[in-house]
Amino acid sequence: MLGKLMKYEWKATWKLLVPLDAFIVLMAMLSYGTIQLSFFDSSSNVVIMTGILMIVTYFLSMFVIVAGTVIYLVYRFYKSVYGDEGYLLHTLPVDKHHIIIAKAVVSVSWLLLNTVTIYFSILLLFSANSEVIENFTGGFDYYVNIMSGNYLYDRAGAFNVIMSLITSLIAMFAKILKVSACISLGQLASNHKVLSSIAFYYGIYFVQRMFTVIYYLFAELFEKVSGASYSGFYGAGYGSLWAFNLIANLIYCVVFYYLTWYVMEKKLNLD
Amino acid sequence: MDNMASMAQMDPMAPAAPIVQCMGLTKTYGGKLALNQICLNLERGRIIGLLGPNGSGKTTLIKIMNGLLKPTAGEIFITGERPGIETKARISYLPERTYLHPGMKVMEMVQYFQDFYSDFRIERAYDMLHRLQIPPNERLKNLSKGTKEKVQLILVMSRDADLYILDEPIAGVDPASRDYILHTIVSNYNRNGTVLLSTHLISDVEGILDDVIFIKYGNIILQAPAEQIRQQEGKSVDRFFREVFAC
Repeated sequence: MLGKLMKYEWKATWKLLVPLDAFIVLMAMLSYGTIQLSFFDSSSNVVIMTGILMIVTYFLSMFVIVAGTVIYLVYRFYKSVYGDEGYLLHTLPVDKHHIIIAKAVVSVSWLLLNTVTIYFSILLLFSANSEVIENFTGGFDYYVNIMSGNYLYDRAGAFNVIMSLITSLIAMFAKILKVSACISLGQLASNHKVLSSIAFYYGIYFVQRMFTVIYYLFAELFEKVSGASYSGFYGAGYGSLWAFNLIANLIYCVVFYYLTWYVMEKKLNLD
Repeated sequence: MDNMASMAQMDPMAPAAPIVQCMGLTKTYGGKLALNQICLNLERGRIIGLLGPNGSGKTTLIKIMNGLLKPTAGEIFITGERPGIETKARISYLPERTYLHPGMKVMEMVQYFQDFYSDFRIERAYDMLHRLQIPPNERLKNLSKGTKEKVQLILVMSRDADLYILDEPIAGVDPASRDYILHTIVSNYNRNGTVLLSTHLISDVEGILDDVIFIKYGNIILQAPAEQIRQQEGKSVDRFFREVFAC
């Protein structure tokens, strides 16, 4: 049943989210065209303004579309789990764990697709200018080289990169599950459920920040005592930085997943 | 207790196990009593009217049967099992709300039910859609509220379920369509199953009811065959209901 839930979750979201990502690519291509066709060297102010407008729209669309994707995924979770559609979802002969996993996996897939689309659209735009592209792709080449084994002689570096990518992925799951948990906890209130969800979100955010601050205080203390550097990719402390992030996000995933499951399984009360 | 149904099947002399059994079922919302120690047995092969005024506890009882609410106290068994994944596979539920995804086409919704319910009969669904002239290619958001409710009823009645729970199935449709809907219910439900029908429109459904349950302030105040009420009281169930629940 997990596969079927994921299939329908994907079908319910792609019609809005694919056009959003396609819009980023389109704007990147139009912006690329303005650079290639030397809009900015034109003697006409109208042509220059058109080029500027195109590029500004492209960069703005990136932020709007990332925010739009997140807002839509949050809205979709609320509507399909605790709205009228919840009457169908919660009476399907499926495990509540499968519902949470299906929604989390599809949501993280969209966030990943967003990230990849934006990265390659920026590459496309900057490829119109060879100097910029060389600087910009430096970071990307670095990752490719590590993954392809060129940097394997530096095991610590490669290990840090791989663990950082894994940590980023788990952090995405933690963020999605945090929103799911906050929406679910908001349903426990008799009134103002959306406001309660927002209050839970900021409450949990505050607690997470506190944990991070406490970690950095200890890290700084450790740095002074041991002399290990946290600055730079190869700093001895970098490993413990991603380790902290990895462990913290794994704990967040478990806690937020459990809270979501608990409300769905034990405290469900659809309006 | 979890396998009462299978135990009954093992003993040929045992009477058929009730499809629903409630024992001391209680539900409170923050101290407010919604269901008060309800004891109830629903037999197989019956069409039962769950009748009561607003706030009497009908929807709370229905939600508990469907696993959408947990009782505060007491026990409930559906085909011998507590509400869960297994009972959801045997209950076909029509809520008062429209739960269909508006962006989906009617045919996609049919496929959705086919994918999740092994007892769904796709040919029966398309036959009913055809009879009601509902285009399978149409998106649900383009249909009127009444037509969406018909689609929902078609999906629910296209299953060979053990228990059909229909919450206000005729409230949102025009009087001309009510007869068709009632006919759809009567002619499509699994004869070995039970239909539990909650409604305010008693006069419209009275003709198809085998049994009647009156619920008031979270208490079951009457459970009897509809014919028995008519004979004993000398009046229709609708008239009797109006007298019992007169303000």
